[in-house]
Amino acid sequence: MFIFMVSISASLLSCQRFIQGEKQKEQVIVLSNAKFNCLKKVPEGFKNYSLGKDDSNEIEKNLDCLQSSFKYFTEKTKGESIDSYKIEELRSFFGKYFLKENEINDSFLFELMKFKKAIIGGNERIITKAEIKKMDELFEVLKKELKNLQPYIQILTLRDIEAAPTEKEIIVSAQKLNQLLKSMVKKTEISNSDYSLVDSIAFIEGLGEFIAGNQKVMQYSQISNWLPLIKEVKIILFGHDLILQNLSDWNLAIDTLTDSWSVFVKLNYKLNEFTFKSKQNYSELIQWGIKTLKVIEKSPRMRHEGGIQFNDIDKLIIRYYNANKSFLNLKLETVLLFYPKIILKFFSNNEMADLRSQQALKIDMIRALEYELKSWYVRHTFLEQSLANAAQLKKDEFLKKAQSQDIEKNIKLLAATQVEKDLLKSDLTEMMNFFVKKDMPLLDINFNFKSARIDEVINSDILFNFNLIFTISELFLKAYGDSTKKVMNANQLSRWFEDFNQLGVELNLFDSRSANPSGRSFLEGNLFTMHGNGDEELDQVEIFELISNVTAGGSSFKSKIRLFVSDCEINKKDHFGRNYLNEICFRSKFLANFTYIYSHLPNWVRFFSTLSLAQKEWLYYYLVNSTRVSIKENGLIEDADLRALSVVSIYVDNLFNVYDLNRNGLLDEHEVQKATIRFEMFFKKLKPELTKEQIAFVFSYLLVRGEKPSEGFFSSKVDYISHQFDDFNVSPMSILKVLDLLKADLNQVKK
Amino acid sequence: MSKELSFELIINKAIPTVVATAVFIFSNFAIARIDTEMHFYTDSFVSQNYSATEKTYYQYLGVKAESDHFKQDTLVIDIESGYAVGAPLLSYLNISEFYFNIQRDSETDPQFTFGRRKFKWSRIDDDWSLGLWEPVFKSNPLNTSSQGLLGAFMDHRIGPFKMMLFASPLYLPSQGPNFQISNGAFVPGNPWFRKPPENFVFSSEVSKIDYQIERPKDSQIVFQTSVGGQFGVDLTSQQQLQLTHIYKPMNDLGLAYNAIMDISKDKAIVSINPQVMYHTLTSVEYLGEFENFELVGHFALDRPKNESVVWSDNWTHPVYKDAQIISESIEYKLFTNHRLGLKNMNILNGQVVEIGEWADSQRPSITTRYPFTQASEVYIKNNWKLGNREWIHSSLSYMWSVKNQFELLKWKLKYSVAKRWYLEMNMIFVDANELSVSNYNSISEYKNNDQVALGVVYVF
Repeated sequence: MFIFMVSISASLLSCQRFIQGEKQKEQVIVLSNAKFNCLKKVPEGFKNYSLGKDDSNEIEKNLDCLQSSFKYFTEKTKGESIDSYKIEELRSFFGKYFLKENEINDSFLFELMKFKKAIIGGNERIITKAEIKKMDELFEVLKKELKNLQPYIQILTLRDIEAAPTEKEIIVSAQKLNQLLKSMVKKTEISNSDYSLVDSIAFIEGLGEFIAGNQKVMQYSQISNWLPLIKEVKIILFGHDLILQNLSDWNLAIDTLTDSWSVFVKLNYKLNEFTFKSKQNYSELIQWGIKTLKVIEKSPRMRHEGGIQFNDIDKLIIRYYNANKSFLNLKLETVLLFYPKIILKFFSNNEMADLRSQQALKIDMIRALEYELKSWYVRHTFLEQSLANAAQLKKDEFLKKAQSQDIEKNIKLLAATQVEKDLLKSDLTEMMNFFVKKDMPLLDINFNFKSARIDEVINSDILFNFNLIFTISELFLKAYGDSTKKVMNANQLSRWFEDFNQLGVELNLFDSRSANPSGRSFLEGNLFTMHGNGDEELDQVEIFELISNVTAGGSSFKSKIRLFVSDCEINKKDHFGRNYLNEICFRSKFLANFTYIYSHLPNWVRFFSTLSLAQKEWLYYYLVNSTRVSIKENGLIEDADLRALSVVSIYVDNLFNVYDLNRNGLLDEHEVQKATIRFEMFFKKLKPELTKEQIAFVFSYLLVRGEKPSEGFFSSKVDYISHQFDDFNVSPMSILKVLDLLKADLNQVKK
Repeated sequence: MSKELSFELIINKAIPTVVATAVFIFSNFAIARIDTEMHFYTDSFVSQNYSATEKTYYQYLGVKAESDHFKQDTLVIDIESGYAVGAPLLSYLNISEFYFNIQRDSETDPQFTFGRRKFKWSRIDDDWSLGLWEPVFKSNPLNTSSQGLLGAFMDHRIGPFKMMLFASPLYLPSQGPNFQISNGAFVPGNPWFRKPPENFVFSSEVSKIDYQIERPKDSQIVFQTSVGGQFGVDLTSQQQLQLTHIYKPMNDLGLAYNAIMDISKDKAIVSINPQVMYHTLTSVEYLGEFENFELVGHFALDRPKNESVVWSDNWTHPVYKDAQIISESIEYKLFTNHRLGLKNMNILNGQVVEIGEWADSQRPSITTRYPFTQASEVYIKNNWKLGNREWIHSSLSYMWSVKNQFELLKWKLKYSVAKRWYLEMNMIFVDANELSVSNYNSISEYKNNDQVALGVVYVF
């Protein structure tokens, strides 16, 4: 026994090494997640795809991954029920194992299931394994279509890309998107579901957040800025409660969707930097406008309801402004006030309609607007083609080419119906008649600051401005004038001013300080345009010329003159927010650079060269004094002064162009007599008791002597007799003197 | 709901009643002479890092009935059972032999036996408990014993030639430690049952595993065909050469598994599907018994029939490779009562690889084919007579494996203290390196199960 016990004890003691062995480690099975590993890259893959960084066609691999993962998932997992999964189960599983950085939040999950229900059926609470299997076909379609879409994804998602996409690229990208959506709809149950566009927007919203994940990507955060806007566009195009009932409805909705996206893409790339200065912009804007109007015209809402409530358009504009955007820097209130006015005044058949009673943008308004844009574009294309890619042509050459053109060919592309075709043709013919018959006034000077009298040379800029101003003048007459006689009286012009004064002020086209702007404009159009006749109406030519002169003397001239006097700017803002100019400096620079500043008015330059230094100072005195808006005593020149002196210069130039028949730079007696006819009505208004002869005397006396004749019986006789011996060398300076006097009289009338 | 799923034991559940009844009947009719012992012992786990169960010691009450000295009786049995107090999973019943001899008229007639009979198919099984030919009772995997094949045997000897033929339509696999699954988890309670991992890592996240056994029908397990035989020739009076061949099910079941995530509970449900795999064994064995020593050389080919089970695609299942087993041993007789031996064994090839969805080359197969693939052992067995009634039997062995990186020290003492009473001591110590894919074996798994058993035996 002793031996037995000793043996045991000895053994235990000698086996300490065994007894103290290290502890066996707990075993853990590491299950391979190779089949799901690719899932982690899926959000990144989609992100890259949507950002246009998917150069190696990762999207196909990602979709393959999703496809195989779904298959594998259904094979290797189960929910509480063997054949289906609850949404909470899915979220916790994917959240735990795969999508740690991309949270599927409640609302996105809800939208996801709604989307699932729409595309593969079932309900919103569970997804069955059979439903997941059905997604296989969908993946195949997606793979093909997304691959096709890949080259255009940057365009469609409005990425900043080096070279802005071409028109063709934008069209093709929209086509590819259209194809994808239609293929999806065809392959899914969506057309039989109650899934709405509102749902899809919410889904996209959630998807954007999900893909962005924890790392907020600028592009995705922008989605939240754009989505409210998209929602409003949706309401405008699809209405509030539109239900798409069948495949055909869905296809039409997709057409509208992709077309509207296409115009939005174009707006983003082509028209974002819109400027009134670029004629290319106008052309693109018009095309874009036509397309946009077409989208609206064909939209489900227009088809079903026949109109879009202005309230809904208001909401879109408000959203647009809320996204820190604006239109021509106009205030939101101004836009909301004037867009219905413009539409109703210019494009509604019901001219007398009360604006507020017209609650909706009707299809006929859309068509009218569309027609005007088409008409503009047809004329524009025609004129451009007539120029035949030449930089410039003599007028005769240009007309020859224009007359040999196939007018119908241009119209065919745009005209929807024969009636429209005829109308467009007639518009074009009318424009050409207008073009051929009239000696055109000075058009805009903004392009290279070159002289652009249409009777001298024809170039692309002239044609563009001609067409633009022609269209505006036509619209003016249609909206406010006598559409039959194509004339507008002072009251009608005044109504236009009343309607759009605020808009003009905000656009810096009108000076809010000026009194009676409509009356003054009416006089300017009647008296100082090339074809002004001094009667009581403005015809289309006068309107055309008035707009031309105002445009030419407006921002274009101001920009030009400021190049030469920039040293004179002081750090003080004027009424229009521009820097004041020190007058002493301005006068010096103005006179020193007169020939450059007035390079577009050769008569002025010629006249200026004949003047002595002292006379030049007097010229400055009369020019600035007769036009001045600012207070002289302040010694400052403001932006409005520049504009006024420019326009007046053009007016004076116009008079010499019309009445200086011998082109000697001075008006002789005969030429003054000719001019008297134009101003008769004006003098009659000032002094109704004056006879025709008396007016002729007063007018010529004013021009020759630069002062009014005496009003006393004897003194007036003396003036009359002495005036018979005056030399009739009326220069531009003489006219400026008269204008200075007239300005004083006008001010008296105003008072 | 809890259910016992140790189906080796389940297979045996019906048997104990039958066996007990048979033992009673046949012993009363004097067709079987049986030695019976009763054991009472305590099993203690002495490793400092033992953590397999909460308790570190267990008491057993056991009975052993054996026809060790009466192999020619009509009924031969070797049955051992143990009842572990308060630890039902540790209780066991080992019917390693239970067969009938058909009496023959003369020594030259062939001998027929039917039932579960242990046979010396190969010394490899005896020496290393690999369970190649015969099933192994592995209630304690560090202290195993062989169990007989179940079937019909025919032995015949003609001069220097001997032959044994075996055929069977029935099959009983090796008997492993008992286990129980409750609510998908293995119930702790048996330190010898290595429960599979409770957790899995998937996508860097740890989650629980629920296990379930997809047990084939009992008939699908039991009704299996085995055919084999042994041909031996006495080269001299001291040397024998034996050729053995058998086609039969492997004694350990092949385990296929499949996992499915129950995402509603965030658990993996791992289903285990045991199936019977077939193989053929062919061996050549040389035995030389000389005056003071004994030499044994053995070479066996183990060729699995992987095609014997066709698992469906969703099961990750084992594929066995052919193995070559070489074993050699030498034993010296020191005086009359002492023996010193040295043996060595190598298994070449014989890997089990997994094929299927969840197969992972970085993880060993869940199917165990061989407990280890290389080992050497030195042992000494002593019988000391201390007096008229006192003697000590000692058996001390030290096994080590370079390839499998373990050491196993065993010492068994039996000391007679009085007529019919003995004291018994059994020590098993393991030291091993960590398990790895390249080093996976059934010994190292129990490195913290160092055990000392002390008991008393009463012989009826």
